[in-house]
Amino acid sequence: MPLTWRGNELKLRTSEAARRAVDHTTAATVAPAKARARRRTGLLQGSIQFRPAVRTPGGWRGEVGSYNVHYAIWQEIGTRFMSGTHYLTRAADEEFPKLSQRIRANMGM
Amino acid sequence: MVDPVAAIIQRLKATPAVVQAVGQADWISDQRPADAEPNRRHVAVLSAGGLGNHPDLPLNTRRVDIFCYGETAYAANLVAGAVYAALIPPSRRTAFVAAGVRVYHIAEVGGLTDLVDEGWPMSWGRFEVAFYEVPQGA
Repeated sequence: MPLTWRGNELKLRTSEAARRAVDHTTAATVAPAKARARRRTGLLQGSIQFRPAVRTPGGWRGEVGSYNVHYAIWQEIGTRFMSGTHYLTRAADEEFPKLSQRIRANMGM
Repeated sequence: MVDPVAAIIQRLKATPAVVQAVGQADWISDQRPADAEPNRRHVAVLSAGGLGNHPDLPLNTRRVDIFCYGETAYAANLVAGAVYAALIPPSRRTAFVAAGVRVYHIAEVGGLTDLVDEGWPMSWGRFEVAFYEVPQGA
């Protein structure tokens, strides 16, 4: 029985599934992060966004966060006089564990 | 559930280089400094999330924030350097037992970030930690 090498196709399929799953996961993290962010003017809440996955030597890297609000970090980690809400890490804790099942789903498994 | 924060604090207090860098062992705690003025050094170890304690699922690994304060940014960096050296020595042996917990894996997550916390220079280091409780008498 002849064997047909389809490894390259499989690698591409896996990589594409991973990319989509990373994007899906970072996008899904935005809503719970917005829900956890302290709201006064809505500036921080409105600034939370995800960035499309980019290729790295180890695979794909996604990002989610606030990129243009200077006090976003202090709301996350807190200060000497205020506790942090950890709105990003808690949202990540909720969504990131679903990454593997999303890769599996994108692989059609 | 066991907590690695107490183990890390005990480890830092037991490391002479860290105590020397900070000035007093009492200034290594699980609280941020409450002083009005940034006139001393301080190490605050705070839990920073993570759900589980499984080494094969790094996304779930427990995380710890370590905030190293100093009267200047340079001093904060000196303290952070001593803390890093105590937790991640330049060898493969990173495990330690303290406060009834064996920390068998600790690694830096991201880089050191220099910030100013309400006028007080601070270096923020993030670590992921894997650990388990050491039974009494073990």
